Amino acid sequence: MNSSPNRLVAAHIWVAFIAFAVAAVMGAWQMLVRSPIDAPLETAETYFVSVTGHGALMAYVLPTLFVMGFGYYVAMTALKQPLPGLRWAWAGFYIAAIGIVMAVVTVLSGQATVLYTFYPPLTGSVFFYLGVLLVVVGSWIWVAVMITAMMKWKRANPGAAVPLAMFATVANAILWLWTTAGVGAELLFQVLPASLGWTDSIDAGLARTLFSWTLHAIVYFWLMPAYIAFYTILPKVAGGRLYSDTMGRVSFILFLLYSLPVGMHHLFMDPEHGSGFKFLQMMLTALVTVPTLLTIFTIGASLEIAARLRGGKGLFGWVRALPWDRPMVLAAGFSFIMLGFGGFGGLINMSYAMNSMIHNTSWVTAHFHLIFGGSVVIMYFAIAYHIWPKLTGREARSLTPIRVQLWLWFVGIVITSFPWHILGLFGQPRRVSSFDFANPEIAYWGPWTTVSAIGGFIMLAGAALFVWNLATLYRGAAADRTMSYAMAVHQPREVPRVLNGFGLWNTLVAVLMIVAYAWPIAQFFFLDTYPAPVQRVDVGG
Amino acid sequence: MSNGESPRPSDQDAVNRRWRLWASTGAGAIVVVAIVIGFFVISSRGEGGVTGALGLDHVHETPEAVAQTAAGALPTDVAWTAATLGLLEDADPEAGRAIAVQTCASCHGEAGIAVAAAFPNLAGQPATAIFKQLSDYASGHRVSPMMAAMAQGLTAAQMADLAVHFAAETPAESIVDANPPAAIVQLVVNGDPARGLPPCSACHSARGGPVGTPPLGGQPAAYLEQQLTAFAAGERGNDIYGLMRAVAGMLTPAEIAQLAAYYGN
Repeated sequence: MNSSPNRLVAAHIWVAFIAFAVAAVMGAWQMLVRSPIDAPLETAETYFVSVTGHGALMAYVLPTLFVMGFGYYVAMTALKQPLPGLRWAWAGFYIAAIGIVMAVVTVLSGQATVLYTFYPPLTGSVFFYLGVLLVVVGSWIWVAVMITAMMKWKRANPGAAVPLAMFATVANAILWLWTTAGVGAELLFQVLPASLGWTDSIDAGLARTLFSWTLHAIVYFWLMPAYIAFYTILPKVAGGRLYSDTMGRVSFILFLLYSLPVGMHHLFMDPEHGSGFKFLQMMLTALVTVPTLLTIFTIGASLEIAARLRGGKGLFGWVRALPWDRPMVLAAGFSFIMLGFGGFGGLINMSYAMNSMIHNTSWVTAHFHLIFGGSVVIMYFAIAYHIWPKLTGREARSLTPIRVQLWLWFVGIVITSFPWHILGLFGQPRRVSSFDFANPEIAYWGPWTTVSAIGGFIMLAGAALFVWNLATLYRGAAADRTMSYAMAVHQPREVPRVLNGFGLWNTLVAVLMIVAYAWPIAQFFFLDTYPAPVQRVDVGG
Repeated sequence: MSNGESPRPSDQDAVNRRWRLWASTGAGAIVVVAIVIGFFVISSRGEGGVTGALGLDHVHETPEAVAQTAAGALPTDVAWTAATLGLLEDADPEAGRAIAVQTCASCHGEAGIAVAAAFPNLAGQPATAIFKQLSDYASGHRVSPMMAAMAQGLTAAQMADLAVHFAAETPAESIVDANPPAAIVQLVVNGDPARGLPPCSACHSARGGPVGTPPLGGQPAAYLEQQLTAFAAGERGNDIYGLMRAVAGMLTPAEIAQLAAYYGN
């Protein structure tokens, strides 16, 4: 592998984590603004500028660029072939980079305080939406490169099983293509025309429906690198083998199937849809428990194999025998704990009835910070730590700062998000810049928000130490640059064709999407609708 | 499929057929169960029936539809569509002034300051608020024989002209009570969560509230008390979602009087 493809991977991951570091500062400051402690520059306007920036950077830039960079790396190392279309990949990177700068500058200048979820009829400067769209266009090039790489490998290795890491990466690429269709349509046909002044009204119901198409699947897109690490890196680092390759393939396929026709569980309280579709999509949402439980079983079994090979004994005593000093193992342990708590919280969110208790409260923000910021991002850290020696050619001088960083992040997210959940149960609304804690009705929220804000600053310390580690730690002994993935207990040479490609699964996704979304979207075109007048936030813009 | 047991190539077609069959059957069965429960079992227990499950009866909540479900009667014909707001944007305050001098001045004053405490001051009210009330008088959603006669003689464009004319006038000075009762300030600023009462200031604020909402400062206290009492009794019902009827219905007569005194002159 020459150095240019490595630079491609590193460039993506650096941009992802620089965006992450900037957004982490914003996040900690926002926690302070919502607490009884005075924050510098505290106004409602700066708060919503910050929330929009934090959301766009954390939700669009960090995961998209990380997934792209990691995907390019997997395509080269798992398939052991040069990356097809390297120039295209760089073009995608630069398109996304231009988009990021465009969107960030627009948000910071106060011209697009519409939050990362856009919320039409709120309408900001067109450069924010174009910036986000460019990031998506850049990522579509990545999708094309991933699919091309897999097809090329299959032609060169007829009948052979696509390595699980690559199979999962392509599953995520296809998932992403489906995912972006919803928000892409919303931006192209509704938001951009309004932002350009071509239309004076926008159908918020249709916009919310299209965004819901994207809003849940995007979460699984963020999550997939963590699962790829669980299945294909963690068992090897722990000193064992993957319990079942087939289980991995089935899980990734189920994620593709049941991440898409489920977004309406974000619209349980919306008036524009009937109860039938809400119930249907709730049931499909519940099916994500299947790949989740498959994964918990498979990874649990894989780790048990590793632990018993290391002399672990007892029904659960083997857990102690795992090499917890290795960052990947430590991070995965933390990730599982957070996934457990976050998953149970998620069951409440996706339940048509229980959702009404916590809808639009802090519970929801706490939930996605615990799941994404916690269990997913800690695996992004672990992946970066794992591949950095292979990219830079140098081992870390010490693992201690890495362990400290993972602990900081884990402790920080728990201290931030647990009280935050409780505040949601108290009824604290989300998307609110400040609270009057002098009011006796809500004065008791004060201590909880303060603890949560302290957690935010522990996370910020963890974020800063992470960037510091990545930038300065990898100057130790020369490293082996070969990336190898976990072998399965029964490593397949061949698998059934349906588990080696996506033809059948794409068809099923299409059928499920038609069932779940055809009527909810079509109704807007043949029932009388009353679009809302556009509300510009970029006054004079 | 037992783990890792690779089928021989000759078996591939049979294996694939089985996968296709069972994957499609599984996904299909789940969808069918969800449809049966979501569209038939649940909807048969609710009021909406299958049309409710499809979203046909509460989709696209026009003010009319909302009103019918919330309060059982049509509260207004005015919807804040781009067309309605455009009408106000294009309105001519000078044309409005000419009508005002002829028709409105005898009660509401030439500059929009009412001549008696039974009439509201119009000066400085949002154009949307004035326009909505005029439309509601004309359509009968707000009942007043006198105002109906006046409003029915106006076109929508003339109502818009009047609205922007009065909106541009200088509002009456608000006489602020130096020592308002603490319980009333509490109602205004925080509402009363125990009764489910939202704070008045959430909508009625000098900074502006939802479209069409009037600020209350500087109105005659007698007019405010009369309107709150009418909402409480259901005699006035042109409020979207029945919100003012619900709120006023939870207030005691004493609170109504004190709130009117708090906001009014």
